[in-house]
Amino acid sequence: MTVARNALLRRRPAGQVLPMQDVIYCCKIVDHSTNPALFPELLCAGEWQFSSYEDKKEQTSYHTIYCDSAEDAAACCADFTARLPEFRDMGLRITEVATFELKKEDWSEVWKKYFHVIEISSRLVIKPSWREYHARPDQVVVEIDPGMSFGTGQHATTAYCLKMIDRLADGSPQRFLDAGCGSGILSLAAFKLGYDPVDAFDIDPDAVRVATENLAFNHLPSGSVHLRTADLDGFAAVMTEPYDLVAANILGQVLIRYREVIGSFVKPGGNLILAGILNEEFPALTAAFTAIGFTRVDAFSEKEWTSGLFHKTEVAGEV
Amino acid sequence: MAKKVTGEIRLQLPAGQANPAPPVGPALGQAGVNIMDFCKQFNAATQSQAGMIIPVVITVYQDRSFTFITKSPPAAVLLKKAAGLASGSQKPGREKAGKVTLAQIDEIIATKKEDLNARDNDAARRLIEGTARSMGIEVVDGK
Repeated sequence: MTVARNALLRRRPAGQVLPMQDVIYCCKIVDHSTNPALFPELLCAGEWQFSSYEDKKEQTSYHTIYCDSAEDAAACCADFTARLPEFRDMGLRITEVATFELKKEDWSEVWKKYFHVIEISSRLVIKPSWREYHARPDQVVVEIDPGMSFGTGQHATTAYCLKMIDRLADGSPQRFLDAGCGSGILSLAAFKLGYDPVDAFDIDPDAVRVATENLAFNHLPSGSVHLRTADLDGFAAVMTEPYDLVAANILGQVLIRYREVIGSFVKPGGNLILAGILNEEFPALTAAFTAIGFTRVDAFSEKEWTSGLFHKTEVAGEV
Repeated sequence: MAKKVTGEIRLQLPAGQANPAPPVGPALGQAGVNIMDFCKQFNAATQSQAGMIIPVVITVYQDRSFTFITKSPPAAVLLKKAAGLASGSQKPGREKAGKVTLAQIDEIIATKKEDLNARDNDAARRLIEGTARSMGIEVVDGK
Protein backbone atom coordinates (compact mmCIF):
# COMPACT_ATOMS: atom_id res chain seq x y z
CA MET A 1 0.00 0.00 0.00
CA THR A 2 2.74 2.38 1.04
CA VAL A 3 4.76 1.50 -1.99
CA ALA A 4 1.82 1.96 -4.34
CA ARG A 5 1.01 5.34 -2.83
CA ASN A 6 4.61 6.34 -3.10
CA ALA A 7 4.63 5.34 -6.75
CA LEU A 8 1.58 7.48 -7.40
CA LEU A 9 2.96 10.47 -5.63
CA ARG A 10 6.54 10.58 -6.58
CA ARG A 11 6.31 11.26 -10.28
CA ARG A 12 6.70 14.93 -10.83
CA PRO A 13 9.40 15.31 -13.44
CA ALA A 14 12.35 17.14 -11.96
CA GLY A 15 12.26 20.76 -12.96
CA GLN A 16 8.50 20.88 -13.38
CA VAL A 17 7.30 23.62 -11.07
CA LEU A 18 4.29 23.73 -8.80
CA PRO A 19 1.76 26.47 -9.46
CA MET A 20 2.13 29.62 -7.35
CA GLN A 21 -0.86 28.98 -5.06
CA ASP A 22 -1.92 31.13 -2.10
CA VAL A 23 -1.53 28.08 0.16
CA ILE A 24 1.03 25.36 -0.42
CA TYR A 25 0.50 21.98 1.20
CA CYS A 26 3.72 20.67 2.66
CA CYS A 27 5.22 17.74 4.49
CA LYS A 28 7.98 18.65 6.96
CA ILE A 29 10.72 16.25 8.01
CA VAL A 30 13.00 17.17 10.91
CA ASP A 31 16.42 15.59 10.58
CA HIS A 32 19.27 15.48 13.12
CA SER A 33 21.71 13.54 10.88
CA THR A 34 25.31 14.63 11.20
CA ASN A 35 25.46 15.13 7.44
CA PRO A 36 22.54 17.27 6.23
CA ALA A 37 23.34 16.47 2.58
CA LEU A 38 22.23 12.81 2.87
CA PHE A 39 18.46 13.07 3.04
CA PRO A 40 18.14 15.47 0.06
CA GLU A 41 19.74 12.72 -2.07
CA LEU A 42 16.88 10.43 -1.20
CA LEU A 43 14.30 13.10 -1.89
CA CYS A 44 15.84 13.68 -5.28
CA ALA A 45 15.55 9.96 -6.06
CA GLY A 46 11.82 10.22 -5.30
CA GLU A 47 11.55 13.19 -7.67
CA TRP A 48 9.91 15.27 -4.94
CA GLN A 49 9.71 19.04 -5.13
CA PHE A 50 11.62 19.82 -1.96
CA SER A 51 13.90 22.19 -0.17
CA SER A 52 16.10 21.68 2.87
CA TYR A 53 17.12 24.27 5.43
CA GLU A 54 19.92 23.54 7.85
CA ASP A 55 19.78 25.73 10.96
CA LYS A 56 23.43 26.07 11.93
CA LYS A 57 22.67 27.13 15.50
CA GLU A 58 20.27 24.27 16.20
CA GLN A 59 22.30 21.82 14.08
CA THR A 60 19.02 20.58 12.68
CA SER A 61 17.80 20.22 9.10
CA TYR A 62 14.23 20.90 8.08
CA HIS A 63 13.25 19.23 4.81
CA THR A 64 10.06 20.48 3.19
CA ILE A 65 8.21 18.60 0.45
CA TYR A 66 5.79 20.71 -1.59
CA CYS A 67 2.59 18.97 -2.68
CA ASP A 68 -0.35 19.87 -4.93
CA SER A 69 -3.09 19.24 -2.37
CA ALA A 70 -3.75 18.53 1.32
CA GLU A 71 -4.44 14.88 0.38
CA ASP A 72 -1.07 14.56 -1.33
CA ALA A 73 0.70 16.11 1.66
CA ALA A 74 -1.07 13.72 4.05
CA ALA A 75 -0.20 10.73 1.86
CA CYS A 76 3.39 11.91 1.61
CA CYS A 77 3.56 12.25 5.40
CA ALA A 78 2.13 8.74 5.89
CA ASP A 79 4.56 7.34 3.36
CA PHE A 80 7.63 8.86 5.00
CA THR A 81 6.42 7.86 8.48
CA ALA A 82 6.13 4.24 7.28
CA ARG A 83 9.67 4.40 5.97
CA LEU A 84 11.26 5.61 9.22
CA PRO A 85 12.85 2.20 10.03
CA GLU A 86 14.38 2.17 6.54
CA PHE A 87 15.80 5.68 7.08
CA ARG A 88 17.21 4.61 10.45
CA ASP A 89 19.04 1.74 8.73
CA MET A 90 20.61 4.26 6.38
CA GLY A 91 22.01 6.13 9.37
CA LEU A 92 19.55 9.03 9.19
CA ARG A 93 18.13 10.55 12.39
CA ILE A 94 14.60 11.66 11.52
CA THR A 95 12.65 12.83 14.58
CA GLU A 96 9.48 14.30 13.12
CA VAL A 97 7.30 13.94 10.04
CA ALA A 98 4.28 16.24 9.83
CA THR A 99 2.08 18.11 7.38
CA PHE A 100 1.66 21.87 7.40
CA GLU A 101 0.22 24.63 5.24
CA LEU A 102 2.40 27.49 4.03
CA LYS A 103 0.68 30.75 3.14
CA LYS A 104 2.11 32.72 0.25
CA GLU A 105 2.59 35.89 2.32
CA ASP A 106 4.70 33.91 4.80
CA TRP A 107 7.39 33.43 2.22
CA SER A 108 6.89 36.03 -0.49
CA GLU A 109 6.98 39.05 1.85
CA VAL A 110 9.72 38.18 4.37
CA TRP A 111 12.68 39.47 2.34
CA LYS A 112 11.08 42.92 2.14
CA LYS A 113 12.29 43.57 5.68
CA TYR A 114 15.82 43.62 4.31
CA PHE A 115 15.19 45.94 1.34
CA HIS A 116 16.06 49.52 2.29
CA VAL A 117 16.19 52.93 0.59
CA ILE A 118 19.15 53.11 -1.82
CA GLU A 119 20.84 56.35 -2.85
CA ILE A 120 22.16 55.59 -6.34
CA SER A 121 23.64 59.09 -6.66
CA SER A 122 23.17 62.44 -4.92
CA ARG A 123 20.25 62.98 -7.30
CA LEU A 124 18.62 59.52 -7.70
CA VAL A 125 17.03 57.55 -4.84
CA ILE A 126 15.25 54.19 -4.98
CA LYS A 127 12.62 53.77 -2.29
CA PRO A 128 10.73 50.52 -1.58
CA SER A 129 7.01 51.30 -1.47
CA TRP A 130 6.81 50.16 2.17
CA ARG A 131 9.55 52.54 3.45
CA GLU A 132 9.52 56.24 4.40
CA TYR A 133 11.97 58.73 2.88
CA HIS A 134 12.12 62.52 3.07
CA ALA A 135 13.63 63.69 -0.19
CA ARG A 136 15.36 67.01 -0.79
CA PRO A 137 13.76 69.16 -3.50
CA ASP A 138 16.61 68.40 -5.94
CA GLN A 139 16.27 64.62 -5.57
CA VAL A 140 14.43 62.23 -7.87
CA VAL A 141 12.75 59.41 -5.93
CA VAL A 142 11.67 56.21 -7.69
CA GLU A 143 9.19 54.22 -5.66
CA ILE A 144 9.26 50.50 -6.32
CA ASP A 145 7.48 47.33 -5.26
CA PRO A 146 9.39 44.67 -7.15
CA GLY A 147 6.99 41.84 -6.34
CA MET A 148 8.26 38.73 -8.02
CA SER A 149 10.14 40.55 -10.79
CA PHE A 150 13.79 41.43 -11.06
CA GLY A 151 14.92 44.93 -10.26
CA THR A 152 15.17 46.14 -6.69
CA GLY A 153 18.18 48.38 -7.28
CA GLN A 154 20.04 46.29 -4.70
CA HIS A 155 21.60 44.04 -7.28
CA ALA A 156 24.95 45.16 -8.68
CA THR A 157 23.71 44.99 -12.28
CA THR A 158 20.59 47.11 -11.67
CA ALA A 159 22.54 49.65 -9.62
CA TYR A 160 25.05 50.09 -12.47
CA CYS A 161 22.30 50.68 -15.03
CA LEU A 162 20.71 53.28 -12.75
CA LYS A 163 24.04 55.08 -12.30
CA MET A 164 24.58 55.28 -16.07
CA ILE A 165 21.01 56.45 -16.75
CA ASP A 166 21.56 59.16 -14.14
CA ARG A 167 25.00 60.12 -15.48
CA LEU A 168 23.82 60.44 -19.11
CA ALA A 169 20.64 62.42 -18.29
CA ASP A 170 21.39 65.93 -19.56
CA GLY A 171 17.91 67.43 -19.34
CA SER A 172 17.23 67.01 -23.07
CA PRO A 173 14.43 64.61 -24.07
CA GLN A 174 16.55 61.62 -25.14
CA ARG A 175 14.82 58.51 -26.44
CA PHE A 176 15.22 55.61 -23.92
CA LEU A 177 14.59 51.88 -24.25
CA ASP A 178 14.60 49.32 -21.42
CA ALA A 179 15.10 45.86 -22.96
CA GLY A 180 14.02 43.26 -20.39
CA CYS A 181 12.43 45.73 -17.99
CA GLY A 182 11.56 43.43 -15.05
CA SER A 183 9.99 45.58 -12.32
CA GLY A 184 10.35 48.66 -14.57
CA ILE A 185 12.84 50.31 -12.20
CA LEU A 186 15.13 51.57 -14.98
CA SER A 187 12.27 52.99 -17.04
CA LEU A 188 10.79 54.79 -14.05
CA ALA A 189 14.16 56.34 -13.22
CA ALA A 190 14.67 57.32 -16.88
CA PHE A 191 11.26 58.97 -17.10
CA LYS A 192 11.79 60.90 -13.88
CA LEU A 193 15.24 62.02 -15.08
CA GLY A 194 13.74 63.56 -18.21
CA TYR A 195 14.17 60.91 -20.92
CA ASP A 196 11.32 61.04 -23.42
CA PRO A 197 9.86 58.86 -24.76
CA VAL A 198 10.57 55.88 -22.48
CA ASP A 199 9.81 52.49 -24.00
CA ALA A 200 10.14 49.15 -22.21
CA PHE A 201 9.47 45.50 -22.86
CA ASP A 202 9.88 42.15 -21.14
CA ILE A 203 9.37 38.58 -22.28
CA ASP A 204 7.51 37.85 -19.00
CA PRO A 205 3.90 39.16 -18.86
CA ASP A 206 4.10 39.13 -15.03
CA ALA A 207 7.03 41.55 -15.17
CA VAL A 208 5.02 43.88 -17.43
CA ARG A 209 2.11 43.71 -14.97
CA VAL A 210 4.39 44.56 -12.00
CA ALA A 211 6.00 47.38 -14.01
CA THR A 212 2.53 48.79 -14.75
CA GLU A 213 1.75 48.71 -11.02
CA ASN A 214 5.01 50.49 -10.29
CA LEU A 215 3.96 53.31 -12.64
CA ALA A 216 0.90 53.77 -10.46
CA PHE A 217 3.01 53.72 -7.26
CA ASN A 218 4.92 56.66 -8.70
CA HIS A 219 1.70 58.48 -9.64
CA LEU A 220 2.70 58.41 -13.29
CA PRO A 221 0.08 58.20 -16.01
CA SER A 222 -0.09 54.78 -17.63
CA GLY A 223 1.25 56.10 -20.97
CA SER A 224 4.37 57.77 -19.52
CA VAL A 225 6.34 54.55 -20.00
CA HIS A 226 5.25 52.49 -22.98
CA LEU A 227 5.28 48.91 -21.73
CA ARG A 228 4.76 45.80 -23.78
CA THR A 229 5.27 42.04 -23.55
CA ALA A 230 7.77 41.03 -26.22
CA ASP A 231 11.04 39.22 -26.78
CA LEU A 232 14.03 40.88 -28.44
CA ASP A 233 13.10 39.84 -31.99
CA GLY A 234 9.45 40.72 -31.36
CA PHE A 235 10.33 44.23 -30.25
CA ALA A 236 12.73 44.70 -33.17
CA ALA A 237 9.83 43.93 -35.52
CA VAL A 238 7.67 46.76 -34.11
CA MET A 239 10.33 49.38 -33.30
CA THR A 240 9.76 52.62 -35.20
CA GLU A 241 12.96 54.56 -34.46
CA PRO A 242 16.22 53.71 -32.66
CA TYR A 243 17.09 55.16 -29.26
CA ASP A 244 19.64 57.56 -27.75
CA LEU A 245 20.09 55.24 -24.76
CA VAL A 246 19.28 51.54 -24.45
CA ALA A 247 19.62 49.50 -21.24
CA ALA A 248 19.76 45.71 -21.58
CA ASN A 249 20.14 44.03 -18.17
CA ILE A 250 19.56 40.42 -19.18
CA LEU A 251 22.19 37.65 -19.16
CA GLY A 252 25.61 37.62 -20.79
CA GLN A 253 24.94 34.73 -23.15
CA VAL A 254 21.65 36.24 -24.32
CA LEU A 255 23.29 39.62 -24.95
CA ILE A 256 26.03 38.02 -27.05
CA ARG A 257 23.61 35.85 -29.02
CA TYR A 258 21.27 38.77 -29.79
CA ARG A 259 23.98 41.43 -30.25
CA GLU A 260 22.84 42.40 -33.76
CA VAL A 261 19.23 42.91 -32.66
CA ILE A 262 20.22 44.78 -29.48
CA GLY A 263 22.73 46.87 -31.46
CA SER A 264 19.99 47.86 -33.93
CA PHE A 265 17.98 49.43 -31.06
CA VAL A 266 20.70 52.10 -30.63
CA LYS A 267 21.01 55.23 -32.79
CA PRO A 268 24.42 55.93 -34.32
CA GLY A 269 26.08 58.16 -31.71
CA GLY A 270 23.84 56.67 -29.00
CA ASN A 271 24.77 54.62 -25.95
CA LEU A 272 24.09 51.09 -24.76
CA ILE A 273 24.23 49.88 -21.15
CA LEU A 274 24.87 46.13 -20.94
CA ALA A 275 24.48 44.29 -17.65
CA GLY A 276 23.75 40.86 -16.19
CA ILE A 277 27.17 39.67 -17.37
CA LEU A 278 29.43 37.39 -15.36
CA ASN A 279 33.02 38.66 -14.99
CA GLU A 280 34.39 35.84 -17.14
CA GLU A 281 31.89 36.55 -19.94
CA PHE A 282 32.75 40.24 -20.21
CA PRO A 283 35.80 40.05 -22.55
CA ALA A 284 33.84 37.96 -25.10
CA LEU A 285 30.88 40.32 -24.82
CA THR A 286 33.10 43.37 -25.36
CA ALA A 287 34.63 41.72 -28.43
CA ALA A 288 31.19 40.82 -29.80
CA PHE A 289 29.87 44.38 -29.53
CA THR A 290 33.13 45.96 -30.72
CA ALA A 291 32.82 43.87 -33.88
CA ILE A 292 29.45 45.43 -34.68
CA GLY A 293 30.50 49.07 -34.27
CA PHE A 294 30.43 49.75 -30.53
CA THR A 295 33.22 51.16 -28.36
CA ARG A 296 33.41 50.39 -24.68
CA VAL A 297 33.54 53.62 -22.69
CA ASP A 298 33.04 52.34 -19.15
CA ALA A 299 33.07 49.07 -17.20
CA PHE A 300 32.49 48.25 -13.58
CA SER A 301 32.78 45.00 -11.63
CA GLU A 302 31.06 44.12 -8.40
CA LYS A 303 31.15 40.63 -6.94
CA GLU A 304 30.77 38.20 -9.87
CA TRP A 305 29.16 40.75 -12.20
CA THR A 306 30.69 43.16 -14.73
CA SER A 307 28.58 45.77 -16.46
CA GLY A 308 29.57 48.19 -19.20
CA LEU A 309 28.63 51.29 -21.17
CA PHE A 310 29.11 51.11 -24.94
CA HIS A 311 28.97 53.92 -27.51
CA LYS A 312 27.69 53.30 -31.03
CA THR A 313 29.96 54.80 -33.66
CA GLU A 314 28.45 57.61 -35.79
CA VAL A 315 27.88 56.64 -39.40
CA ALA A 316 30.40 58.43 -41.66
CA GLY A 317 28.97 61.69 -42.96
CA GLU A 318 26.24 61.84 -40.33
CA VAL A 319 26.33 64.45 -37.58
CA MET B 1 35.36 40.02 10.47
CA ALA B 2 33.71 37.09 8.78
CA LYS B 3 29.96 37.35 8.44
CA LYS B 4 27.92 35.04 10.66
CA VAL B 5 26.21 32.15 8.89
CA THR B 6 22.64 31.47 10.01
CA GLY B 7 21.87 28.51 7.81
CA GLU B 8 22.22 26.63 4.56
CA ILE B 9 19.50 25.92 2.01
CA ARG B 10 19.77 22.85 -0.22
CA LEU B 11 17.86 22.66 -3.48
CA GLN B 12 18.07 20.70 -6.71
CA LEU B 13 17.14 22.91 -9.63
CA PRO B 14 17.07 22.72 -13.41
CA ALA B 15 20.07 24.59 -14.79
CA GLY B 16 19.29 28.11 -15.99
CA GLN B 17 15.62 27.87 -15.03
CA ALA B 18 15.28 28.90 -11.38
CA ASN B 19 12.12 30.94 -10.76
CA PRO B 20 10.18 32.03 -7.68
CA ALA B 21 7.64 29.16 -7.80
CA PRO B 22 8.05 26.44 -5.15
CA PRO B 23 10.47 25.15 -4.07
CA VAL B 24 12.74 28.19 -4.66
CA GLY B 25 10.38 30.94 -3.46
CA PRO B 26 9.24 29.38 -0.19
CA ALA B 27 12.70 28.04 0.67
CA LEU B 28 14.47 31.37 0.16
CA GLY B 29 11.62 33.65 1.17
CA GLN B 30 11.26 32.05 4.59
CA ALA B 31 14.98 32.48 5.14
CA GLY B 32 14.71 36.20 4.24
CA VAL B 33 16.78 35.87 1.05
CA ASN B 34 15.89 38.02 -1.97
CA ILE B 35 14.36 35.37 -4.23
CA MET B 36 14.89 37.11 -7.55
CA ASP B 37 18.51 37.98 -6.90
CA PHE B 38 19.23 34.30 -6.27
CA CYS B 39 17.32 33.22 -9.40
CA LYS B 40 19.27 35.64 -11.57
CA GLN B 41 22.63 34.57 -10.20
CA PHE B 42 21.84 30.84 -10.35
CA ASN B 43 20.54 31.10 -13.93
CA ALA B 44 23.62 33.03 -15.02
CA ALA B 45 25.96 30.52 -13.40
CA THR B 46 24.25 27.43 -14.84
CA GLN B 47 22.99 28.61 -18.24
CA SER B 48 25.55 26.49 -20.07
CA GLN B 49 24.34 23.24 -18.43
CA ALA B 50 20.77 23.32 -19.80
CA GLY B 51 18.85 20.09 -19.21
CA MET B 52 20.82 19.15 -16.09
CA ILE B 53 19.48 19.11 -12.54
CA ILE B 54 21.97 20.99 -10.39
CA PRO B 55 22.17 20.54 -6.61
CA VAL B 56 22.89 23.89 -5.02
CA VAL B 57 23.81 24.89 -1.46
CA ILE B 58 22.95 28.47 -0.52
CA THR B 59 24.67 29.90 2.54
CA VAL B 60 22.54 32.52 4.29
CA TYR B 61 24.24 35.12 6.49
CA GLN B 62 22.85 37.06 9.40
CA ASP B 63 22.32 40.19 7.25
CA ARG B 64 20.36 37.98 4.77
CA SER B 65 23.02 38.23 2.12
CA PHE B 66 23.87 34.90 0.54
CA THR B 67 26.43 32.96 -1.45
CA PHE B 68 25.91 29.69 -3.25
CA ILE B 69 27.87 26.77 -4.65
CA THR B 70 26.74 24.08 -7.04
CA LYS B 71 27.44 20.43 -6.23
CA SER B 72 28.03 17.09 -7.97
CA PRO B 73 25.01 15.53 -9.75
CA PRO B 74 22.42 13.89 -7.46
CA ALA B 75 23.02 10.21 -6.64
CA ALA B 76 19.70 9.40 -8.32
CA VAL B 77 20.95 10.81 -11.62
CA LEU B 78 24.22 8.87 -11.36
CA LEU B 79 22.35 5.65 -10.47
CA LYS B 80 20.05 5.98 -13.47
CA LYS B 81 23.06 6.58 -15.69
CA ALA B 82 24.91 3.54 -14.24
CA ALA B 83 21.83 1.34 -14.73
CA GLY B 84 21.23 2.74 -18.23
CA LEU B 85 17.74 3.98 -17.33
CA ALA B 86 15.66 6.97 -18.34
CA SER B 87 13.74 6.85 -15.03
CA GLY B 88 13.32 4.78 -11.88
CA SER B 89 10.73 2.03 -11.44
CA GLN B 90 7.07 3.07 -11.41
CA LYS B 91 6.54 0.46 -8.68
CA PRO B 92 9.71 0.43 -6.59
CA GLY B 93 9.81 -2.60 -4.27
CA ARG B 94 7.67 -4.65 -6.65
CA GLU B 95 9.22 -4.18 -10.03
CA LYS B 96 12.89 -3.87 -10.80
CA ALA B 97 13.80 -1.08 -13.15
CA GLY B 98 17.42 -2.15 -13.55
CA LYS B 99 20.66 -3.17 -11.89
CA VAL B 100 23.86 -1.57 -10.70
CA THR B 101 26.95 -3.39 -9.47
CA LEU B 102 28.78 -2.80 -6.20
CA ALA B 103 31.68 -1.51 -8.27
CA GLN B 104 29.36 1.11 -9.81
CA ILE B 105 28.15 2.07 -6.33
CA ASP B 106 31.82 2.56 -5.35
CA GLU B 107 32.28 4.85 -8.34
CA ILE B 108 29.25 6.92 -7.36
CA ILE B 109 30.52 7.21 -3.79
CA ALA B 110 33.88 8.35 -5.18
CA THR B 111 32.19 10.99 -7.40
CA LYS B 112 30.19 12.29 -4.47
CA LYS B 113 32.92 11.81 -1.87
CA GLU B 114 33.23 15.47 -0.99
CA ASP B 115 29.51 16.25 -0.93
CA LEU B 116 28.56 13.16 1.06
CA ASN B 117 31.28 13.63 3.66
CA ALA B 118 33.91 10.95 3.07
CA ARG B 119 34.62 10.52 6.79
CA ASP B 120 31.39 8.61 6.92
CA ASN B 121 31.85 6.15 4.07
CA ASP B 122 29.51 3.54 5.53
CA ALA B 123 26.64 6.00 5.83
CA ALA B 124 27.29 7.14 2.24
CA ARG B 125 27.17 3.52 1.04
CA ARG B 126 23.99 2.73 2.95
CA LEU B 127 22.38 5.87 1.59
CA ILE B 128 23.35 5.27 -2.06
CA GLU B 129 22.21 1.64 -1.85
CA GLY B 130 18.99 2.74 -0.13
CA THR B 131 18.44 5.36 -2.81
CA ALA B 132 18.90 2.68 -5.48
CA ARG B 133 16.35 0.40 -3.80
CA SER B 134 13.84 3.26 -3.48
CA MET B 135 14.11 3.71 -7.26
CA GLY B 136 13.63 0.01 -7.95
CA ILE B 137 17.28 -0.43 -8.92
CA GLU B 138 18.82 -3.71 -7.71
CA VAL B 139 22.35 -3.71 -6.33
CA VAL B 140 24.26 -6.83 -7.44
CA ASP B 141 27.75 -8.24 -6.88
CA GLY B 142 30.26 -8.02 -9.65
CA LYS B 143 32.14 -5.52 -11.68
